[in-house]
Amino acid sequence: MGTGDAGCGEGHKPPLAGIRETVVALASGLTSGLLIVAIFPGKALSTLMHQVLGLPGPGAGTGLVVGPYIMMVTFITFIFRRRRLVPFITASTAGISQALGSIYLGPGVLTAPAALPAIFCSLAAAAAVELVLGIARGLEDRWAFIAAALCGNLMLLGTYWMAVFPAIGRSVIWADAALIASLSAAMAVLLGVLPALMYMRLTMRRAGNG
Amino acid sequence: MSMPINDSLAQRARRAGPAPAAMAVLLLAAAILVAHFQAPAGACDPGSSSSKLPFALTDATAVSAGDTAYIFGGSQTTSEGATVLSSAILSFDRTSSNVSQLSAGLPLAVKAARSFWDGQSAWIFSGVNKTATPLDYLVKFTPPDKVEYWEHFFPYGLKGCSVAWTGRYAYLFGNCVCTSSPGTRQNVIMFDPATPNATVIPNVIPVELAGSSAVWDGKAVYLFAGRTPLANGTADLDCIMKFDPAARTCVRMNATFPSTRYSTGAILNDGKASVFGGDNSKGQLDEVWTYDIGSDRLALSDKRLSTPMSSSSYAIIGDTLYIFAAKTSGGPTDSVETVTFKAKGAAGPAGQPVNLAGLALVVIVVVAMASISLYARRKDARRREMNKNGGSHGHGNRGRGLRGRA
Repeated sequence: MGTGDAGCGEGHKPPLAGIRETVVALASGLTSGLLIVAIFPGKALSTLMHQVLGLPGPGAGTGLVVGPYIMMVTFITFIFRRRRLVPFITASTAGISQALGSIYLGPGVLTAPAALPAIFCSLAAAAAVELVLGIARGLEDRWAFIAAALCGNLMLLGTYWMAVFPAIGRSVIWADAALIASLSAAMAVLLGVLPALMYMRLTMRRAGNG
Repeated sequence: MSMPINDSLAQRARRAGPAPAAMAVLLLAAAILVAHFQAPAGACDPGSSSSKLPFALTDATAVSAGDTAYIFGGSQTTSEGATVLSSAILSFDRTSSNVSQLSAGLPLAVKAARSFWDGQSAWIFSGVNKTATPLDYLVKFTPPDKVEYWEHFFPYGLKGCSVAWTGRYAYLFGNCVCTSSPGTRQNVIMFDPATPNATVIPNVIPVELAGSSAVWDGKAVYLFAGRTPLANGTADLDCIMKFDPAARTCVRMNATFPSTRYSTGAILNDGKASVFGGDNSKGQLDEVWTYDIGSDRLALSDKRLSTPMSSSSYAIIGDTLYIFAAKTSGGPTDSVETVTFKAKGAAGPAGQPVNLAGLALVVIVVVAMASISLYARRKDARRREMNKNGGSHGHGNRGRGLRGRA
């Protein structure tokens, strides 16, 4: 268990997620998605981003907090269970449960018309993460995670701008988009990758001690 | 498998296999698919007019009457710097850009009044006098100088309400957050200038409302943002509400502003509402928002007011919005802000410009993924080649690849 239990050699694809890995990924995604809804109930995240930090919008909460958080959960779950489709299942479940939770569990920023686009965006971002982790077999973990976090988080942000925010009557302007995207990229690495790498180092150390 | 460094891009892509390319194409196709979830974009050209009011003014009210706008009352800053309530009626002529004070005046000095133009006359009501008491008066001004006055017309004092003229009735929404107005902030007053008569429609608005702005689109009135009282203070609003005069219902729309605000201005232009300026907890705003009534979408214009401001005195003449007597961070101003609305170029299927920022970001990510794919596979192949040749040239397998640990 932990890192390196995939049992596959250098450059080879790991096996597909089995039932156990799928359950772990679903549980991880669902729990983490609902957890962030509980941490930022209602419009708390929007208030933090726009009123407290003074950041423009829309998308600051998604790109700076929600997306990187989903990346972190996805990578930690992937380190825990290295199987193909584990990142996709974890990220999509987390994204969908976070979006639907914020829509239906409280009067958040998103409203019912955004539900279907939000599902699509979560799937797109999850596909981006799975794809990058799959194609980056030749890279070291940290670079693969950084690439996946950047692609996944910016895919989530971009598709949210295209599909989710217009569904609730909002859109972003170029000047704000550049700032939000830049900060989102930085946060994807800081919040999405660093904790996952720390977790990986910890598990490797434990495995070494064992 | 070896991979020559000087491969062509096509060769490398072919060697990389179809999966990354297929996924990239799928993602790009999906991105294009969702591009029909498009957002409207504002189109306006803000600036300051060379026209000046005869004195610095704030909290006035204005109506548009053809090529002329009339500005009523307000809080006037004298040349000595003192602040007094004004009973003046100012006339702004668009063709000459000249502002002059009429010989006729209001029968009372008032600020924070509201007004509308019924095609022949301006009706002025609401606001406070020097004792800060919400007023129940009604004034009718018929150019050039006829003024009629009803001292106690409305059933209760009004301040901070918004008004929309439908061509037959004027509807007044809410009331101020002040001690004299509990129980009236969810009311709508239907005012018939023909009689004249005011009828209260009680408890229609879903929240206690003050400081909103309103437009009439021919079917319904749309109310933008505002302020509502709390047990221990007030809360600004971010919502848009729709009042249906026929059904006498008022409901929240899905679109909301990204931040709360009150004392915005709102006008209807070319089937869309433009909501500009306003106040929030941090001061005045310079944003101009376009609300597409048909699609219930709100979009921030890429242009802004020349300075953050809130004003209740504005008038649209032709395709130009004139904002008078604005409140800015520097206090009252005598300048006249202009915002010229004009059609924008490329439009999507819904008649609105495509949200290119989101599309561009998705395309960048897809391109980045394709690049990562090529780079990673090339690096992987080189490493395999080194391993195959028994090489250990430093950049070989460090045992840390994603799939590298057994």
